[in-house]
Amino acid sequence: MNCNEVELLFAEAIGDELDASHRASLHAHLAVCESCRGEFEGLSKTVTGMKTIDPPSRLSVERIGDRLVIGRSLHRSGRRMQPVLWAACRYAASVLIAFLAGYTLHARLPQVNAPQPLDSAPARSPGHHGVSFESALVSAHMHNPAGSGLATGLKILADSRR
Amino acid sequence: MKEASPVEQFARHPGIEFQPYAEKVYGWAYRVLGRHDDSLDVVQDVCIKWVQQCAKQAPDHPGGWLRRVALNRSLEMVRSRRPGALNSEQIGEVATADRHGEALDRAALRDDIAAAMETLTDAQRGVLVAKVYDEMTFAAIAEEMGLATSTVKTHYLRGLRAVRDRLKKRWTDWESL
Repeated sequence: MNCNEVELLFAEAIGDELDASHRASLHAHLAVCESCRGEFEGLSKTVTGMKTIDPPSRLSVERIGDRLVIGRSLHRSGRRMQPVLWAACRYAASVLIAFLAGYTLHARLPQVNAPQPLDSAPARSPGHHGVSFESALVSAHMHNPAGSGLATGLKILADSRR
Repeated sequence: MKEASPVEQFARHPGIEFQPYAEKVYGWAYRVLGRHDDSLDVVQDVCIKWVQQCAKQAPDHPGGWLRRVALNRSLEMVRSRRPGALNSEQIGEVATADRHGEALDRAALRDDIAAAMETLTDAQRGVLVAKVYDEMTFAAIAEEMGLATSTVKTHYLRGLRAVRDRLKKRWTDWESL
């Protein structure tokens, strides 16, 4: 077997499809031909190197499938939605802080000589001189349900303190 | 007329299943990209193209079609992220590697393989991946790709030589992997 003939067997030999008789002939040639041996070993090493790159074995088809479905709604759109979600969280936090601040302020301020701010404000409880925070919110809601909210309530409360 | 969305197309052709190929597509992408999330992106993109293709005409050889599309999409992603540093996933690999630097070697090896694959034709790349990673026989690859077996072997050796030339300098590193 000469070098050209041997080279025709490289693909099958490296691809592990070479029959025993041809394999013997190939290795007999490689034992005496340094050039072919170098070429063969180089190509074999290349396959070995490529095979060291394995995907994670822990993944199953089902998990990939789940991710395939869920991934499109969460993974990708999640990247776009992230700023919106952060904005929503910031808004919710600011409303909560405003609520707590307003409630604390209301509890600490002296409840004397508070003017009646709204015609529609509910009746005050006996001994209570200001408009309660809760009643202000209810009043705002009754007055304008679409535009009611904590901010409106706080505004009414602030007005009631003037 | 507005083209139907992939979801609409999928709804019209519910019999065509991508799921059995999902893991294969992931494997092809991961071997080129080496990143879990990027590989899943490739799976998704390939799935959409698969549905669109099936809406027109189902490929005669789904495996070959998917391999070609997945490899091309993966290489597009490789090109789009160059030059790039290791991402958090790869840094995690480094941190958990038994030997420090192993993951770096592996990432470099993967990048070199991807770079070599870019220089190949679709057919050479497809044959190489089908043989090395999918462990298909030359006859099966030939049938799938509609080529002569001798042509498949030629593609295989050319592809292998291209990768070898790229990787030669790393042979000592491989032996320690």
